[in-house]
Amino acid sequence: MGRDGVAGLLLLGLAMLLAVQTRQIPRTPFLPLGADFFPRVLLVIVAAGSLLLVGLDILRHRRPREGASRAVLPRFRDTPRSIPALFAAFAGYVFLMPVLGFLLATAAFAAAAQVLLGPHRPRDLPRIGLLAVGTAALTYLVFERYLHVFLPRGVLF
Amino acid sequence: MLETILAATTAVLEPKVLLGVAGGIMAGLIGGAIPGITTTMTIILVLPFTFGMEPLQGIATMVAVYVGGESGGLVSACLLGIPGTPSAFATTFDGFPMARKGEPGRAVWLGIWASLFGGLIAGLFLVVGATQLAYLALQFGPWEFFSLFILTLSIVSGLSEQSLLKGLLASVVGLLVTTVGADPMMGVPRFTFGTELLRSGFPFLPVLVGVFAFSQIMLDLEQVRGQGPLDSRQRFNLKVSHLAVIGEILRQPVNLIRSSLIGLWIGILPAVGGSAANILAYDQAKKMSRTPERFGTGHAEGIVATESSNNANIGGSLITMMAFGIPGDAVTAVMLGALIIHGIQPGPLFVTTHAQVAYGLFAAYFIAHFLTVLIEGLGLPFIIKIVNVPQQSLMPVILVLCALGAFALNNLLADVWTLFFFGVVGYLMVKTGFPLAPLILGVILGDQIEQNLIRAIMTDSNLALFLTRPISGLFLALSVVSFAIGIYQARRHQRKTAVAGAPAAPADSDL
Repeated sequence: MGRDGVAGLLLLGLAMLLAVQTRQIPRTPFLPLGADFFPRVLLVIVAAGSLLLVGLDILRHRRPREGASRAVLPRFRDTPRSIPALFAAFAGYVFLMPVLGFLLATAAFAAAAQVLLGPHRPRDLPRIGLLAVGTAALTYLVFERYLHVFLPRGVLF
Repeated sequence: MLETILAATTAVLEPKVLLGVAGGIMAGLIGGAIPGITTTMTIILVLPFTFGMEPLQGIATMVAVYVGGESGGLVSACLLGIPGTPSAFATTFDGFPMARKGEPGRAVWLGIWASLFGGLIAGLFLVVGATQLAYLALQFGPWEFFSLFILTLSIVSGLSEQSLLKGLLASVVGLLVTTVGADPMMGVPRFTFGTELLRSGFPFLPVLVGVFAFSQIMLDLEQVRGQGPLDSRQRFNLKVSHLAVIGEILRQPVNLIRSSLIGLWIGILPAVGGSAANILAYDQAKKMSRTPERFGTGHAEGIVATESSNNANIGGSLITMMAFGIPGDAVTAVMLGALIIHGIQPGPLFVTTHAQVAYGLFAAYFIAHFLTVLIEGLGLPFIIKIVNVPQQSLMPVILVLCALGAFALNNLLADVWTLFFFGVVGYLMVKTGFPLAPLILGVILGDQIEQNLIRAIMTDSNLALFLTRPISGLFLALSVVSFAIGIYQARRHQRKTAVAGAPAAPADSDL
């Protein structure tokens, strides 16, 4: 089974999970069509579409058409490691923002992200640091002082 | 109408609004010029800065970003051979060869002036079309609106050449996203899993930023990692005789008007976007030209066709947004969100109930086009320097701005987590060949589709009305046709790639 089949199964699983959840949606006496009507219609479509996707994927793998070409999608294993690391860094940034505060968390993330996206030489470190601190400071000034968006405070500031 | 337009123009010419327009143009030009930073991303980054503005000022700023962004793409397209935005893709075909032949100024200024003329032509249709279509849409009942939204989703789903099924699934998943939280009719909680966090559902803007900007940044970074900065250190002599360039454009009126109308029409179609307009206009210009063999060698007709069409596309997208509340492309999807944030409900009533903002948008559109010529001319050397900033330095800053934009909406970190979650979803969708445009359109239209469906059935439980009411029936018939065309195109594409023996690249619309 290929990527499409796996995606289809995941979607099917999601549809079934949400279908069970629709039983917990309260019915209102005022509307003949309850709040569960529209989600259930959508879930039926998703389930049917997912099954079709899985079925087509299985057929494609069992009987590949001669000369037929499918979209060659980039392989997951070809993804540079820095990308999942960057996702993790961003998640860490959001998680630590209420702990460290906006300024520290942003400076740390901006520095970490530049390092992850490298390559860098040792003499690039001052530039990385400057950009990280500058990003945090400038965005803080603009958003908190000018736009009055109060940014998260941490244990220090 | 004339008095309203004049009053709105006066309002836009006030210094604080004009400053926003100028700032928006500059932001759009820079964002559009840097490859990988699309106009969509630029407008997403500018959006938080408009939260504290009055509605007219905020919307005028965003229109200016749009106009600036579509023009900015031609700078790197002509001078570096790399399109700054997808809508400048075909501009490289003749813009870059012309620059390499020693006429970079002529290449860039042909593009800038053609953008102005294309935008002005579409602007006329925008003013008349948006208002007239809005009046027409006021006659629609819930059946017509439901069917129109279904038609929109079917068009966008059908644009996915690889798999209509994946496009359909993406749009339905987008609709499902909107069912999380309180239902739009009675406020009944759905799919909250007992958490207060999900009770208010997923806010539209963090979803949009996550799916488009965040996931797109990660995908771009896969290509960029390890690359050096673009080589824009060379100096370009951009001096030209503007009268000569304008004369050159006006001596090809058929090309100019045809390309503008192509851009306008493509803009009206939901979610198709400037890249399709750009390519289609170039294709038609080449086919209709007396000198088709000169296309691709630095031919002025090619640049005029592409740049007039992509700016005219703006007008078309705005028509659909203003008349029906349906985004013409990703940028107008963000603008819809901006309107809601400013307390304006997009849709047919927008023009009548918020006339000052609506006509102010028209005025800002025209003023932005003229100002873009001025600002782009003065700012070209600066823009070229900015393009040289390494993406490894730029992207972390943009990620921080995305997070801030999501946070600034409601001052909630939960919205930033929403952005992250949908960023992961968007990234995985692209990796598995699912198009993003139908998902985001489903998120935009989900509540309205449900509301209109329920209202229609509650008004009259006869489902046949969806087919027997003429306009509703027409929209649903067109939806079926759209699906059929999608299936036909997918099969034709598969046959073509089988014959060519080359792997097919995943396609997506401009959303």
